[in-house]
Amino acid sequence: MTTVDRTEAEIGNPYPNKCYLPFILYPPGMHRVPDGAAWLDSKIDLRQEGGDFTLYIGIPFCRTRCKSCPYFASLLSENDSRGREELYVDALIKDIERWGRTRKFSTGLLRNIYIGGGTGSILKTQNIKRVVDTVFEMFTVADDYEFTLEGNARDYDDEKIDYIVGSKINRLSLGVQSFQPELLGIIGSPHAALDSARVIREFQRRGFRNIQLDLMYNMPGHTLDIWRRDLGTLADLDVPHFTIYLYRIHKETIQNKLIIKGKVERPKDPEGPMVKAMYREAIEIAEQMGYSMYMVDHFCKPGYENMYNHWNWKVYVDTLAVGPGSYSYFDGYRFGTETDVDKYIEMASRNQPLISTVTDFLSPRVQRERYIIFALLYYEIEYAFYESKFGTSFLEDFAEEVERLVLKGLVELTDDRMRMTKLGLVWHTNVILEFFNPAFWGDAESLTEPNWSLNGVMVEVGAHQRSHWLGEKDQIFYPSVTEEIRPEVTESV
Amino acid sequence: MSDSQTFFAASTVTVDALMHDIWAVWVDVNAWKSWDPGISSSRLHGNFKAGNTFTLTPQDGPPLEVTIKTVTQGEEFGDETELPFGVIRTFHRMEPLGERVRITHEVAAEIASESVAEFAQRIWPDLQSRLSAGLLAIADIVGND
Repeated sequence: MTTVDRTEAEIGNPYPNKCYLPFILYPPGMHRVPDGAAWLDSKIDLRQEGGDFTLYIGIPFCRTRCKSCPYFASLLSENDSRGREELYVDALIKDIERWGRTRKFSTGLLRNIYIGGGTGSILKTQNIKRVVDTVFEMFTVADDYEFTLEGNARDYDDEKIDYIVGSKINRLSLGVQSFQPELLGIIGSPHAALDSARVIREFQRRGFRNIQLDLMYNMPGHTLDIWRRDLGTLADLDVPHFTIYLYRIHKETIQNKLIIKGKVERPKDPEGPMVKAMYREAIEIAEQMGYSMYMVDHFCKPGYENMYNHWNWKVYVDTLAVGPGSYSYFDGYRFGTETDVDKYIEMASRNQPLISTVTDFLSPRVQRERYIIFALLYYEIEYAFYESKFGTSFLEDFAEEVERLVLKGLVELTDDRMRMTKLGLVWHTNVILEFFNPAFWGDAESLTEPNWSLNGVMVEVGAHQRSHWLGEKDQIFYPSVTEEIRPEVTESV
Repeated sequence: MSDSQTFFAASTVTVDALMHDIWAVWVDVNAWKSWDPGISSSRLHGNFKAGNTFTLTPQDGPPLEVTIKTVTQGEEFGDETELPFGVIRTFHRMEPLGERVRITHEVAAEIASESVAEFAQRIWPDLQSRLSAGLLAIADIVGND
């Protein structure tokens, strides 16, 4: 066993700049495709026998756009006088049916379903039911499936709660962000502070326990006291799964403008003592409450891991994603559906897929890199599993990268796996970037291609040269970072 | 109100901005004082949806209870304040105008006849001036100009 576990203070920093990514997409560089249907016909054999896959269903609507949200969303009015929700759900169902009629997906085994967005829960109860019923009509769903509905507590009335509890949806994910009204207003969340706790308790009262909630830390005006109150409420609610996200100010958002105009307080330095204390206390409190951080920033009680992530990233199966702004991955390609809801509806009415951007075919090497990058969200690579997946040895395929990571004290090697050290966890994203393909660095051209949601952030990372994030290959340690650089944070315009 | 007089004012600005950004500023009721110079504080009770209320404290007056009357997300909302001397309604709407967005703020006051003179002299001028000042402040925040 090779173990190097040293602290930053002892040795300096392993990289010249720390990268922080809330979400990983790989490979980042994609290019526009003029005729998505023709591309699909020429590249993907939909007549082949299907295997395990997951299904992502995107609902592109929100009631309001959170002020620093980098995701695509279209505002949907509650009175919906133009019937946009019905039109969209009709199109979505046609799209799901079209995929479901292909041999690849009709013979495959659907392991996990996730309705996200936007706001999945925004749909009327009858429309959620239509979508759920269509999934089970069109696909063979595994007996131990998990079906998550993501959304916002604001959307839940008794009718919707009753339907979900009795439906095939068996997991709920709520974007809580905070339980404090002053913070929810500042970040522009659509729900009121009491909504989240009320809805969680209503579900629990009906016996529905598998609930995830997302909390954010270091929002403008956030303090350690407020954070402790949120963690206390979390403990009271006794949900089995939660995530914590560092609040970021994304470029081109209204929050960035409000900060620049002095209307909203700038969040604290993420490397400063308060934010580090927030993270540390979240982990400590979570452990005291019986949660484990089983993947980066994800906490659960035993048996409540997020299985959608598990199937996509750890088992590494195909992902079929439907709806505007979604990205699929199968047969060696990533491809995306653009964010234009009206165009999506029009294409679905013509029984055509809307495929707008694609990657080149992922070489065997890139497919391996992609697996490693996602698997490292769980901190480790199991040699045997890797070999069962790709037929080659992880330690041989990535000997140079592994040697460098060991020298920097970021990973340790055991008989059966490579595992991140504590220092590796601190520099988690940089460690992941070590497995980026050399051909993807300095890719500024992809900045001008259509990118949405966090793919744009990933492209910004790749637009730098490798040395920007990772330094020179033969240099092990660097002076302490004095100026934090994050691709998705803008300090000025 | 059978014996009353109506006051009405509207202000419009056209700005290079995203409609969802304007909407985000509107629905953050607690931060209205950052663009409306006449407001000392405001506090939304519950969600921003029709039927819910917020407490609005003007710079020069006691707190008022305001009811949100209409909401069309991403497009418009209206609210209403009942006062001893009448009702004040405000309406905020936006619409795309080519590549830009036209934002309109309106205020309509239905004032009991016996209070008209005092309202016209002491309150209405301030309401009118706040309308355009608030609109310009929003345009300054959201605009790319």
